[in-house]
Amino acid sequence: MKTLTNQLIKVIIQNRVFTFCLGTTLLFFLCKGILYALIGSFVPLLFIITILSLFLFSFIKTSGTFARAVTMWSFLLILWSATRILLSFINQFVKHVPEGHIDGQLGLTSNLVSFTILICSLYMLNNRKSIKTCI
Amino acid sequence: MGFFDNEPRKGAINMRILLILIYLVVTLISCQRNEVNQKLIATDLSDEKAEYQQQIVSHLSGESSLSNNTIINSRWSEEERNLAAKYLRELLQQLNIEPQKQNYFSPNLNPAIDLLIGPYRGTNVYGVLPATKQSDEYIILGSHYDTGKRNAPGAIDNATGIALIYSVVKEAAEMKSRDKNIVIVFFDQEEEELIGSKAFLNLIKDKGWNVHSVHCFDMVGWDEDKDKAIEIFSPTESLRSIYKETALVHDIPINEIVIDPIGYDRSSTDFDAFVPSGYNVIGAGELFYHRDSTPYKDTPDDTFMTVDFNYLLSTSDLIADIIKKLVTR
Repeated sequence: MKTLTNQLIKVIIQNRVFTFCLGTTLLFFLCKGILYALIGSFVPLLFIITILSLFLFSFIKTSGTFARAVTMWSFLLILWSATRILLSFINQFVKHVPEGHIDGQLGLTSNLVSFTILICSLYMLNNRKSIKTCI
Repeated sequence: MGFFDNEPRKGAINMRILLILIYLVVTLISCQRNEVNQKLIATDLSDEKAEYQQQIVSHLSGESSLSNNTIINSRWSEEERNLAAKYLRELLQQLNIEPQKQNYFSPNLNPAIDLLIGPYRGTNVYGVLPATKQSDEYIILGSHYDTGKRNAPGAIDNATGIALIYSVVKEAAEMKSRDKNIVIVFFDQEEEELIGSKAFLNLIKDKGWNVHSVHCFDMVGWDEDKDKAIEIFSPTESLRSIYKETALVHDIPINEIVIDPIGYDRSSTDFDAFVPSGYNVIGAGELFYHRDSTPYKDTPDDTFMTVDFNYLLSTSDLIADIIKKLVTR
């Protein structure tokens, strides 16, 4: 356990920007999961728990496995943010969504969140092979 | 030599820092909430029932501006609904009732959508007119304040319901004796699967209120054939009876729809949210199911000019009498 913690700290120090990107995206979805769990919907929390377990498993396995986990997570995030940006674009310029609740979530703040996640995921995808994790 | 080599690199770093700063500033600005701090109702509403009902519908449907030249054009977007909620809180203050907010979050109807976007969030505005004697019974009067479509002023749907409740409570507040508490609630997000009224159901349970009956009013401003008729729908026989008896005195025809609560799962008006929970609930309004209802529902033409204020007045008089009877029984 101690070795794992030390290794984790070492990797974090060596790859600060990567850690920031991965941490930001995971924390964002963890917060989302907790918020939804508090109001009775558990799908987002189950989703992020699965992702976190996957990262933990891949981190202790090999660098290659970790890189594959990062690739998968990055693709999911790219898909997620691109869908939101596309929806926002359609709502703004093509056809307005009829629901006020969805319209309210496709504004400037939402786009900034989507772009932040997109930038983070592109960075992670680009640098996934530079992370050396194995103990 | 080294100095010249570093210049373009320095410039690129500066540019990167500048872009990050711009991004952070834009993010911070976008996170700010635009809250109107000034009062929206600067002077008291008229004491004349017909006049104040017109003032309320006029304010809520953007026909007239509010005290700081703010206009509520529609009550569809979150920003517009926040403004309307602030107006409604001030409306309760006009009745000397302390306004309360129920801010709620609710998951999306499809759990997969929860991953993509945030939850529903809204605000129910409510207040309690206490009984003059010790009582644990509550009569709930509710109307929704949101509008169904972008740019729909929502004069009939449902500024009229709000004006009706305001007048009923104003009259009830003037009674010397009330044996029951009256809760006034303006629901948010009725047009989006009754999210507001469903959230209010949770609040009722949390508060542990002993609910005598729930009365929901939706669209009370259209009467093409001028017969003053209203439509009521309820699973509760006693409530239907009192509405019919009182309507007879007022010479108002009643179109009755008997609701079977078993397996009831409609979601078209706030009334529907209370039926499955077994409350004594009744819905009332213009003849939506009997085809004498505004053709402008959920359109930009649902304006102040289309409201039949005589109809609103006659229905309000009827409901006021019914509530007075119930509150003293």
